[in-house]
Amino acid sequence: MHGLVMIATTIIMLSAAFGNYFVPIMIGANDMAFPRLNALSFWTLFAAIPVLLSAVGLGGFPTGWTGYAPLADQAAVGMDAYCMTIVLFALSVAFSAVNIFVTVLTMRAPGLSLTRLPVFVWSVVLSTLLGLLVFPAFTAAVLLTLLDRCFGTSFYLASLGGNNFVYEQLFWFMGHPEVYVILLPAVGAICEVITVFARKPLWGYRLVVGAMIGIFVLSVTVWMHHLYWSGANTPLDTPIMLDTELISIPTGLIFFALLGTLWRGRIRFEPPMLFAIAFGVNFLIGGVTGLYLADVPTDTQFHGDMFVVAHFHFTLVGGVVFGFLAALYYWFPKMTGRQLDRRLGQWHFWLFEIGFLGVFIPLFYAGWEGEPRWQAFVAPQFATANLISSLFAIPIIASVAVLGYNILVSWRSGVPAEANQWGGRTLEWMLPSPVPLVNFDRPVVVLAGPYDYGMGGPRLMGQPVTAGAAVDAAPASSMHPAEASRADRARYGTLLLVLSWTMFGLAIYSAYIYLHALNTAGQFRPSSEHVPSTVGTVLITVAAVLGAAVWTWGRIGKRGADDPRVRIGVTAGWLITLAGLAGSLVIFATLNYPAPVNAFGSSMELFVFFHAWHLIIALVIGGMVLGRLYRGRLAGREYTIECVGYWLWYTAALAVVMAVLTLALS
Amino acid sequence: MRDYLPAVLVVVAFALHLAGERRATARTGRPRGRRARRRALAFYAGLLAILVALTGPIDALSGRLFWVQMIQRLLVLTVAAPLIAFSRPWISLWRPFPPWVRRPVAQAIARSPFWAPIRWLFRALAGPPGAWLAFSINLLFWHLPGPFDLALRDSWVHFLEYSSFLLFGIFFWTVVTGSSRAASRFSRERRIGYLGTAMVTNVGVSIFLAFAQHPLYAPYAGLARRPGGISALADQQIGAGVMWAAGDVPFAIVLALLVHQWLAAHEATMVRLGGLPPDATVLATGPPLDTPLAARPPRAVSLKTTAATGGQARRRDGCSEPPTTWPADYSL
Repeated sequence: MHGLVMIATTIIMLSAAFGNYFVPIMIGANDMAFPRLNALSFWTLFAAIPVLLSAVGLGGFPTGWTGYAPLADQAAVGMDAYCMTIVLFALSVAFSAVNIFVTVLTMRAPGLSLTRLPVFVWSVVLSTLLGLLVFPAFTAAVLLTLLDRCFGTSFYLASLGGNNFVYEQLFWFMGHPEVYVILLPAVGAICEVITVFARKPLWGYRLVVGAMIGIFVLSVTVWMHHLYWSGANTPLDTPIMLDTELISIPTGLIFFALLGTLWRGRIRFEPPMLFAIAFGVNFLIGGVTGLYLADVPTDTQFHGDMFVVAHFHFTLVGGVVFGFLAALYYWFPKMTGRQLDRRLGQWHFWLFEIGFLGVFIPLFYAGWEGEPRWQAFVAPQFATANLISSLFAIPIIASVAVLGYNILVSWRSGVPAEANQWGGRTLEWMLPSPVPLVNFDRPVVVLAGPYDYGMGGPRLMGQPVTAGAAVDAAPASSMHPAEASRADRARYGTLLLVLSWTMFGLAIYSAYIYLHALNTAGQFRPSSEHVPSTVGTVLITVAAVLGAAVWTWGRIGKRGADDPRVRIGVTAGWLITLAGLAGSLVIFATLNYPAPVNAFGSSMELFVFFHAWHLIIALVIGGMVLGRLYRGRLAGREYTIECVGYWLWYTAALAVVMAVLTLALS
Repeated sequence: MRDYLPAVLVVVAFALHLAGERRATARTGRPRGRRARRRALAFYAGLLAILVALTGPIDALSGRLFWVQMIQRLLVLTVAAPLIAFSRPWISLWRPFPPWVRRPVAQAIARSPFWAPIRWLFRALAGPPGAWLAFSINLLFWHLPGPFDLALRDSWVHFLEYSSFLLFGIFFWTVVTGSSRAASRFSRERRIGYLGTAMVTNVGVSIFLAFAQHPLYAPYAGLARRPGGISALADQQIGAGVMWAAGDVPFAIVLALLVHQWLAAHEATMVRLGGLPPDATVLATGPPLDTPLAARPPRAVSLKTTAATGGQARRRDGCSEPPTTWPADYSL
């Protein structure tokens, strides 16, 4: 429970909280690209909280945060709560990612090229994009668990041809990139803080951005280093080990950039900077110990030890939480208009850092000596280390109390903050504190990089804004650039959602192929009764392709929305899609639900549901577009027909690919 | 003869290229520039990679070890092909031929209606979507057990296989490196996505091989003994791992270079344009920014493009904002 709550918290605390607040400001936009989607993303997350906490009352989940099958299949009801939490959480992340990515892509101020984006914006974009791509695999794994538990399928039951190793692969395919999803925004925030408090431009901007992109790309290839001791024991361990060591290079490059920024800077040791430097120390320790775990020989010693626990706490707490606290102290004045008390901040920092080091360094020792994790009983030889570790939790508790007090008191009656007390150069420091609801009351033009000290920074409509200066009110331009690209935003958003959904489809399809490959017991396909009816399959596939083609034929393009071809094409496409849904229901009716079914049958049922779900989404959105079309209210929204077309083509491609590959494999 | 065919072709290509370079120097009277020399070196390195891959110990071992065959393929697909694509040796290779050979051949290929289908095919395969599809489908095709085994049995099919790797590889990497005029119009952001998705294909195939539970390729499975005494399945898994990890490295290097070039090009454009992107709409015209506030006359807000407000685009940023001084009453 602690694990899952902490992981969810570390994912959202920087990119959701500060990302949502500051990414639009940092790029000169007034809001995110999809404000209502933003709200949906928040409320989905909000809904996930009671679902997760309900697990406590429902018997808990015995698997720990990883939710491994087959224990997951056999557990009490709390496991369902775990699964639903994951589904809601993944949805929230996906919505957020689409929003942030499209915002940064389409709503930047004129002059703000991608090479002038503050590093924090880069880090949030890459982090959420990575989350968008890999969380569907986790959703798929958890969905299969749910199906096993509630619908009698057997994806993870060996006796019926399933295999729990599928869960582990899918889980860690998400699990490793996830730690970079967690880490990247923290690194971005630290870059911002160090730049401002060393009073020097960021050294190696391109290096940092390139390193982040490198981390993004490499992190999805190395998940199998979590599976060294899963029992597979394949020769793949060595190449994975090499790739994992390769990832440490971009991370190290970012470190060098931070050191280069500090070099010959005029450092001010305010609380944000204290946390930033502690980030450097802690993450260095965490990262280096990670190398020990990446290498197979040393991992032999340390797998399942407290060494692993200490490693990831150093990176997640020592790295990410410290990054979060640095960002909190840095941006609190901007968000609330009040300064946090400096002396209390120093107390918080020292209590936390000393407590944190004291808690986790003895655990390195304990792990070295062999203390296993996941065990309540502490053997006598580890008692001293664990005692020291527990005692140092007291300073941590005290530090949290100090922080809470600081926030409460400062928010109510702290010293009012000026617009730019730290001397930052990014766009948020050009606005008053707290930031008004409409971020910028006039358009922004950016003329130089975000860290070009003394060489002319961003300008608000032609005037350098100093703290508290009365700026003469130039009339705001009638057309904000963002409105011109609403269609673009919708298109990019649809494409990103399709991408995320593709990853989900890939995940469940890979699970099927993998189960097929692992078919050692011969249980995978005993008889033909589990093969879905051919009529239904053909109906789905043909309907999907035909529907997409007809819908595209009827798209507006250069014709007006009143052209009869548009009405015919769009309506016919919708009806054909409806026929396809009927086809999937036909298939479903002929399946042998709810009797327990072997792994092959389970896969076929899943694919039918998957297709049906695609078609339902297409019908709902298509129906909304159709309604607008017939009411004559499509003006200015012609792109919606296009977007539904994307979705339909995607459905069609999926149907064809799945049909072909299923036939080929069977 | 067939064993020496790659070596012969490499030597011929090397000789032709050398002769072509020398002819170019003789024609212009000036030695080749730095860039041309770099490209020539890249070409020779690519040829060397082909030589290393297809002759000598690697070729000898590849018949007995699956993972060495993977190294062979990687050398051709991800080392030789990008180097050759980057080096664009085509003119230099063509130059040594006398004009009475070059002219009719070139005119025929370029204009003759007989060769029109070939021209169409070339344009289809050399364009971004065609090159990606050809590269990936070709890769997938030669990993299917049927064609794979056939290539090992029949040396002409083997030659065809590696020629296709080289040919489609060159098309693909030409688009990625922006080597041809058409390819260089393909924006760098798109090339990054292009390369990324190709990496996905590579990793996808290697994952498939890695998790296969029994040896897929008959010639290797049927060997009685392998060097090192490893089993056929282990050999296949090592090969998949090589394809996965070692295969990703050239992609990652080129990706890193592309990202670096992309960011640098962006920055250069920004500096050149005086700070605004080419399609920016300047939202107001007015006096330069370093005019004090009081001295500015009220101005009208109008929409104009950068080109029309030439003065704006070339403004120099003389106004530097001093760093904020530390507030004296900062609380302690």
